[in-house]
Amino acid sequence: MNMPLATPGTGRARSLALAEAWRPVLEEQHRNARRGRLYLAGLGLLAVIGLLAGLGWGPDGFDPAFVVRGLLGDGMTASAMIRAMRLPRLTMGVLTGLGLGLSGCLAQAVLKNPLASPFTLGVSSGGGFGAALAMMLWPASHPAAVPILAITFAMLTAGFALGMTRLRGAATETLVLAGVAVMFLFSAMTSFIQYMAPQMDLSRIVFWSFGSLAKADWGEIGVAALLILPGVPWLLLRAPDLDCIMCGDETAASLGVNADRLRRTGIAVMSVMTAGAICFCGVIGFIGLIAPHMARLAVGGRHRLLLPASGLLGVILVILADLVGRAIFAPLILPVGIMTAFCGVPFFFWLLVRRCRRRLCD
Amino acid sequence: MRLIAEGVSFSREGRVILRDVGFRLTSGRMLVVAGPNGVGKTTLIRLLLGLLPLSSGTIRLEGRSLSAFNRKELARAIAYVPQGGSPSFPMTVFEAVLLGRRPHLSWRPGPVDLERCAMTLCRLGLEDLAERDLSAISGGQLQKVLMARALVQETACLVLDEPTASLDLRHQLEVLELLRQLARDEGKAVLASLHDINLARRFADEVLLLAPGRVHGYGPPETVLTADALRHVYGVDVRCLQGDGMTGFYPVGPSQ
Repeated sequence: MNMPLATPGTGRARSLALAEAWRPVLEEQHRNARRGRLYLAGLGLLAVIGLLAGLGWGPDGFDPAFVVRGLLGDGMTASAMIRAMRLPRLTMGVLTGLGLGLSGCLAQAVLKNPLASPFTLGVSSGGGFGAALAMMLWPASHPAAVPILAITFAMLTAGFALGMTRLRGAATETLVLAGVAVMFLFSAMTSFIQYMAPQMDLSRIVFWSFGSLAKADWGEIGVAALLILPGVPWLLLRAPDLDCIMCGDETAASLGVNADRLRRTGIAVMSVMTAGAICFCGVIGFIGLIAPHMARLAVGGRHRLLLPASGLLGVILVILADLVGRAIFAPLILPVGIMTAFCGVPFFFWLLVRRCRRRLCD
Repeated sequence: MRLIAEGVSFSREGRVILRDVGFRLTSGRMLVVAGPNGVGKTTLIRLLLGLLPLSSGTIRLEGRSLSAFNRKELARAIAYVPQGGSPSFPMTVFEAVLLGRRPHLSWRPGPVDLERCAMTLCRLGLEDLAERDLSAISGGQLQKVLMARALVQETACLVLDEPTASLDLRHQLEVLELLRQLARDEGKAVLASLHDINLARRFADEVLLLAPGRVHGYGPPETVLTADALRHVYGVDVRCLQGDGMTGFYPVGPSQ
């Protein structure tokens, strides 16, 4: 370390010494890359296990034989239970978790803020307000009204955020502050609707805001998939550019990445994904914040690994929360929105504390 | 490599920041931009990176106007070393350096990219820090990491924004020695803004001395950085100290 930096004239002995020195650094990188891929595979396996558990868990506990019978279409009740209830519920859970995990990771990257999530720009609250409005205006008669208004208001909020990025000199901090203000505005408007709504609608609005996978049907799943899945390849393609903008817009520019354009497209993609995730199952917010952080602790900060890991962790968290919500007070089913926070927060704290300890040891 | 600026002016909201700036930077040379705070050094660097549009004048790289380059082409020609600053997320030293390969790699870094990064880290004596987080290293080490990133970018031109700010004496010398070595031995064209007049005088091949709204002088350091010029530009009286064939300035106090 204390060797002078600029040794005039690199002699043969010195270049030989260098050749020896950089090998271990390189090998360590290869080891890290292998470990990252291993963690990612582990998360994939965990997601599959979660799915199987979710499929197998019923009112009578865990019953794999029942699932097999149901999937093969052998037996009316089994078939109805598995195909009409558990399978759509889990599919919606996968889509929601994926959408929230990925859009949370994207929000943190484009806003360069570890506190960012789809909530930060007010997109989720906008969607929540749209849903509440729909439930007040058309009580029960138009099932499509809720997702349509939820998506519309989520998009309107995103449009507002995009307009902010066009302002000259608007830093990401300005964007975050404006987003938080919009979030409070929409929360207040939702509260206003709840206050004015008759008892019947009120309970519907409140229940929706808890977040639930219970009502998912295949048509809704199709819409959610249409909103969430097209963004996935774009995200993976842009992963190396997201790495660059974490270091500041000027550095990104000097590396050949147009930070403004990436940020605008990123906000648009994030909003569509978030809208898809929340329009049918309500505001399951917490996932978008913690899934990326958990992923970062597992696979590191490079988005090529971080994005898939965030998506997988989103899936795992939603499926797990739903499973626990179904099992803990069975036959009573707790909404997944409440359970994500119950399950996620303690685990998240554990990870944070562990990381602090490791930092101190360095 | 030839980077030629002619009659470069930049004004924002009616305020002129740079007026009629011209210089010429070629391979193997080190150009230092000096001048008081707020005089437009950083603005000039942002113009060179294509982050701001010129109000008038031209900047040509290899005879081609800078505005004709797309970002990726520019990133393969000019590397930029910002003034410190680490991201708000954990990122290891190696990851930070690997970003410098972005203009060259497709989607995933190949063996060549990783090898370049490992070699450059060793060259700057950073091999023991490869797995450390950027937030857990010293300011001097961070500056070297940012320089390593610019080096793996493999450009003909390096642009640095106050590379010695916030560094201790030894690190200042090490960084500038390295820059000089890069220019002399590897033929890089180096442009750095510096606050330290003595370091500028000692290491620069050419100095561009900016005063508010104008260029005060451009040329070899001995002719540009004089006691007279420092009094005019910085409003500071200096005493010229000489010994062992070296010249230095000692600031006495604000001039009347």
